[in-house]
Amino acid sequence: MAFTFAAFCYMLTLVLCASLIFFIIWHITAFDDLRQDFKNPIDQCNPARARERIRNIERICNLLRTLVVPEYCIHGLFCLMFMCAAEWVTLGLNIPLLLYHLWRYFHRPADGSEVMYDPVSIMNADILSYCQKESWCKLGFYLLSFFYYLYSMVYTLVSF
Amino acid sequence: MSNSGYNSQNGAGGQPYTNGPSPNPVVLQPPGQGYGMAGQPLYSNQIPAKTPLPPVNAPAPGLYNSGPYQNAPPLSTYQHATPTSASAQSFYPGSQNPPQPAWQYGVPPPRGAAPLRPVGNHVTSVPSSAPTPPSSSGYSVAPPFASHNASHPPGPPPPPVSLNSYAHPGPTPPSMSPVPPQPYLPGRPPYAGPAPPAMRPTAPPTGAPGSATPPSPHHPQHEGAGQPPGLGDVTKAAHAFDHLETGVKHIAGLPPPPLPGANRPMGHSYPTLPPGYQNMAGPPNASSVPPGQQPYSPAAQPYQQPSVGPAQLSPSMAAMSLQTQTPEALRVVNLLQERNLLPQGATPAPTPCLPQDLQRVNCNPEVFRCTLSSIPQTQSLLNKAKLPLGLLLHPFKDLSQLPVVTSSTIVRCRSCRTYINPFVSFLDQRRWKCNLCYRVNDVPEEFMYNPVSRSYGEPHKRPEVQNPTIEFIAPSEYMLRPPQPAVYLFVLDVSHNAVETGYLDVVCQSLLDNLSTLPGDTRTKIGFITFDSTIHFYNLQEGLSQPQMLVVSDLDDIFLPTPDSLLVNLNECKELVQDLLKALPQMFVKTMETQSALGPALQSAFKLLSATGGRVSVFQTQLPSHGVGALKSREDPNLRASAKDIQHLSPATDFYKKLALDCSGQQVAVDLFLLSGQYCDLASLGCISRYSAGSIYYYPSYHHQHNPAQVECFQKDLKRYITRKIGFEAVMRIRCTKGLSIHTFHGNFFVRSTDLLSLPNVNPDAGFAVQMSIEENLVDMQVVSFQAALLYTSSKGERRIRVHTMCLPVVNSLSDIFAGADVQAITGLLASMAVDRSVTASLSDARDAMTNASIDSLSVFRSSVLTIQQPGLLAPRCLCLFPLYILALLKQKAFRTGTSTRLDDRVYAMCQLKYQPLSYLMLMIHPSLYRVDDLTDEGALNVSERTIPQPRILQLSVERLTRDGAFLMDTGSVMYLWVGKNCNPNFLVQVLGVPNYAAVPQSMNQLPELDTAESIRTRTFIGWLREQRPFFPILHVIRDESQQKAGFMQNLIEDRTESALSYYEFLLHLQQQVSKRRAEVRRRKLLMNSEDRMNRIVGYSKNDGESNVDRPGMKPRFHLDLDRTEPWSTPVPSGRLSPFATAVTSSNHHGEVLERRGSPVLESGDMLIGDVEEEVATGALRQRSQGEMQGDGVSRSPRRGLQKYLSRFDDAMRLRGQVAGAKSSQDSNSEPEELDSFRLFRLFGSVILAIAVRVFVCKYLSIFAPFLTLQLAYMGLYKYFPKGEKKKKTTVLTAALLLSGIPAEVINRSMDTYSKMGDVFTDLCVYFFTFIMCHEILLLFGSEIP
Repeated sequence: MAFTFAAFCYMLTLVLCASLIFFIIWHITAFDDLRQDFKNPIDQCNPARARERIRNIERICNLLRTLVVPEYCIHGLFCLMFMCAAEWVTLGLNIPLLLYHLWRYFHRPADGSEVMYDPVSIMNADILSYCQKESWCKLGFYLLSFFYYLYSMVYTLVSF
Repeated sequence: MSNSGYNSQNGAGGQPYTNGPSPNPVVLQPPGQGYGMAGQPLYSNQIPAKTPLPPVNAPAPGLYNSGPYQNAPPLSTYQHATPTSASAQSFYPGSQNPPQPAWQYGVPPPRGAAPLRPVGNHVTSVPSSAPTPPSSSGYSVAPPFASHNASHPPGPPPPPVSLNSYAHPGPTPPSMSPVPPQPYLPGRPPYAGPAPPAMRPTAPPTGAPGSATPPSPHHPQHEGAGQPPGLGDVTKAAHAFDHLETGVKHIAGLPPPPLPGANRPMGHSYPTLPPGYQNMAGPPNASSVPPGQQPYSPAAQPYQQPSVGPAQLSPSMAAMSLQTQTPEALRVVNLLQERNLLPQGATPAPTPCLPQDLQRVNCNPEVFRCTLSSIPQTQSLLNKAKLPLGLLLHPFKDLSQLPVVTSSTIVRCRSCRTYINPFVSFLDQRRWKCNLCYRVNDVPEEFMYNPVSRSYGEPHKRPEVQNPTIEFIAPSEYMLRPPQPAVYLFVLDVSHNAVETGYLDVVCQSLLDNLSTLPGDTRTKIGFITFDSTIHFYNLQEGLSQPQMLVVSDLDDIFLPTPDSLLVNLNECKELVQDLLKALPQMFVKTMETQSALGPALQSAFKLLSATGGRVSVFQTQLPSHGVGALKSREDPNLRASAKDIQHLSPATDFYKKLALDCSGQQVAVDLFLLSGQYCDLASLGCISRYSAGSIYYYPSYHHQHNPAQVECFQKDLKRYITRKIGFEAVMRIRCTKGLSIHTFHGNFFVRSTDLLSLPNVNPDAGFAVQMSIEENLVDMQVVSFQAALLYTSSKGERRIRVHTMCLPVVNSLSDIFAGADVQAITGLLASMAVDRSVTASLSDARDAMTNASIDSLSVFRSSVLTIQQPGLLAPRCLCLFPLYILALLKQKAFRTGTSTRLDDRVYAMCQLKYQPLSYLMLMIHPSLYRVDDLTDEGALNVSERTIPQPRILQLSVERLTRDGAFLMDTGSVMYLWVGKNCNPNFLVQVLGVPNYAAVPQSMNQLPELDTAESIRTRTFIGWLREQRPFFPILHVIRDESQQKAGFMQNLIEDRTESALSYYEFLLHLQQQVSKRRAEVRRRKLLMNSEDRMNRIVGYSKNDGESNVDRPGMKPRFHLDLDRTEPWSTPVPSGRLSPFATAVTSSNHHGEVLERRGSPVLESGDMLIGDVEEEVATGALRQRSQGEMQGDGVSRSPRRGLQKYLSRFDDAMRLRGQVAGAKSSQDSNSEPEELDSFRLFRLFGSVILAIAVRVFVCKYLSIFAPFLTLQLAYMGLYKYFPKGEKKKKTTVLTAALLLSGIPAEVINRSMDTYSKMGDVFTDLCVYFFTFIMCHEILLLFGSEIP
């Protein structure tokens, strides 16, 4: 029974991981929200509705965008902490995602403020489905890693 | 009705049937540029001409005073005397092309003369049929075709002879018979049922007798896929006529035709149309509905009648070659040898092979077009074909005839909301089945009544079900708020720079002139904003004595000074508006303000319009420098030419994009007019229009004095812009049959939902492109449909829905897909995709992607479709222009590298590529070159009493220019009239109005209006070209010293420039890549074979046999895949081509060059020479080296006994090389063997594995287990790993085997297996060695690790 730094790391990441899972779930619902459109012709052809819809898309994209950087930061923090705690296996598990995040971040559209999720292109079906798939994969990953962290935390606390 | 608002400025071009008889009908008539309509409409137009038929035929005998059968002699001459027709017939894979003079540089195109005769035949055919009409009343249903056809059969003279008998002089009638006679059903037969047989009658061997015709793939009515009416399709067209004729005749009750089963459905359906409807049943968009529109048809008849005449033949032939299309579209063309591939006139769109009754009502290809006119059944098939699948739309095109329906209920599918269309099937009178989601719907009561025929109970004859393009006036439930009024706001830059250019005068004057024609009704509003570093509003409130200017200088917080009087009703305040327009140009003459606050001005415009929506027209002359949205210059002029990759193609700020989205939400569209000499960052500014569905106009270096040509251009464009039709608060939804899905849109709009585009404004000059994928297999479907519905508010305040529906067949073989490929649409779509790619990735990426697209499709065609392999770069006829277009794209302003191109020009070109409708786009990609100094009235087009000469389109190459001619190049937005140094003085005097060449002015932008025949001809021709597009192309008359000459030369895309390949070199490059790919595929196949054997030995069954065709690592989507990018832009060493080709080519080159030596364009000529010499040199070198090798072999062989063996071995190895196909194409240039990274990885892996096994698992497992697993996995995955080009290794083993007499073939087969076993063996060795070492070391150190 030892409360090592590693154990602390796992406890912290456990909490943060839960928040990441919520982020992702929010992402998924947001994409669903984007995808669903009113099939009622009268509704969707109504100019007033158009305004609302565009606002909606913009709002969702803005929210999505505000979540991107925190998510990446939190995940980066995981990696940093595991590195400090010399938990190499865990670090190794997280490295691919870290690299993916870095790649994603640096391949964003070039114009200034926007990280990704550009409201003008998000509704293209291929981009939307890509984003959706990405979110589902991440959700799976975070869920698995959540339990892994839980197990590891207990393990480090119990051992020695 | 709807016609009232149409501005048919460009409408004239779209109606080929308006042609009259040409004065000299014997000459082949180039098809009218409006071919798109020619296919169907042409045919159906004949129906209204029913009654007036006799006069039609009457003149013919007069012209050609011939008895019924006099045509026999010309026919015979036809068959013998026209070499082109013979070669054209040899499209069948089996028959060898008689080698046409390869690559005919300088050789006068054989087309010019040859087709004359066939046409002559057609002409003579007219009289032959003349006697028949009296025999039957019903005969006149299809007058022109019947008449032409009948004359054709060379052998059997009697009138009822069908054209089939021409193809088969014998009585063999099998061709048409599969079509069962379809009794006319009250509803159109659902095409799931009887349609298929009609759709694919196995195409009869309609070739010339004697040519080997394998059972051709079924594409019977595939109309004119890139088929130039020149080369020999004349004959085929003739067959097609026949088929038609047989059908018609049958109906007409003529003496029984040879083919009793040959009835085409259309033959039945036409006569049964209700009498009131017959006039309307014509062109797809022929008006059908309101009785008010009926008068049109009689009016149109004078046009249609002449079209029966002989001059019409060739377009109609191109359109009508229904049966024999398949071979034509798929005819193999060796691009390296056939040079004259350009069609004579405009390239027509291929016609999908649908049953006639469906095709008759299919959408006009100018409006709605698909890249593949036959849709593949599955996504994997589409991936295999490596052609992009997408739609190109021009939904709001000005149409001359458009049925408009007003009804209280619009019939739509209840589940997918599809509008009822011609392709739905009626189960019975009360129910219809949606063709997109297959739901069965009820027919509402109102729909049972047909307003056209005033009859009840015939829902299938309603205009909605008869027209693919139709407009509904939406009932009130489609608007929850009153439709918006037409609101126009003009935002004008009045900074010093702007005043300097003097554009204000033009804008104000144009507006003054056209104020009354501004589309709108009594509610129309108008407003003005000007800006420099401050924003000026104009109070135009009624009652003021003069306009009142209000200046807002607080740019951080824009407010509207008097919000309700800035936008005023145009009718009520017309005088004030006019006063303002008159005063405006003078108001800022003295301004010294240089700043430009575009951002705040746009914000205020948005605020002003956000209550109503409307159109903002922004005129900007410099980089915005003040307030929000200010931009910095990002262009470094020094890097224009040298930069490897172009930077700054994406916007610098998202201000404009966000504002555009706000605008889009408030139904405001922003149109941008950029008149600037310097860099304006169009990449950033353009966003404001792109996402608000506006349009962009760019006039580089506009100045009212220095650049009068631009001024004229600007004036004309502005006039069109102000007066053209406009739709407000529009949305467009594109639906497609279940299983297909849309995934990317191109154009100017905001994507609001996955299939819904939000278009605050829609204008008739906007085009859209859509990429699609196949999500579910379309296995049990015969056809799929697409529907684009555009809901908009017209300028009169009506809510209208314009619906276009297109129907395409589904096919399941690669050859059918290729046969239906529409090369222009593919090019257009690829261009849009490449624009996206160059913004998101990089320009070079996009360029490579385009090149790869052509390589991919050609290599697939070669490996999967072609059964007989020939040397050369083979392409199907329908795709034969594909490499040319790709090269043109690569040399287009948007994508070119190496040539100095201003960033704004480039970005503007990119915008155009995405935004222009296909027909205009193609000119921008591949300009047309005409020779105009010898224009004649031969084959001229007659449109509304003007005779428009139709010169041939020439290849874009210096070699086509002669110094004694004058050439017109039409690049869409600019026209160049290049005058040669020794130009015919007649031309100079009569057309240019100058005494001699030296007197041609340096810059000349219009032709003087001289009263000579030549001048009139030239001017009508140019005017006619201009009329066909909504923008105004400037004309530059250039001579050798002109500044514009560079622009002209750059457009000669088939020539080599210092930074880009010539067309021929490009083809060679393609050929090289294609054969490389083929080699790769073959090697993989061989590998698979050997692996199979190996697996059989191991007892491991292979599960995916198909993957050998698919290359590994393919992205799922075909388009623009860059995996195997070979940098091509570096000049390629001429790869191996057959010595024959080289010789021919080079000699031709030489002849050409010698001829051209003195031509005025010397630098290109020189380039050409260098090029040629290089080629000749390499060719000679190669031949010599081959000769040497052979000689050596001969002299060496008898030396010793062992040498004999060795030489035999050499032979075997060579054979092996051929069989393996490795480097079959380029054995001459040996590439250095690349580092096989996978091999290294494997060895390294073995080492690690050995260590790991020793350290950790050796206690618990057999030490072999992990290794064997790895090996097995490796063998399974082997084919997915890239394999470097392997050198032919002369191993001892092989040598021994060969010497022992085992046939080389066998060794080849097993070679790969052996090499693989060798690999395994190596791995094992490494593994054991490491393991033992590891073990020893551990023992040595006596570690305590277990």
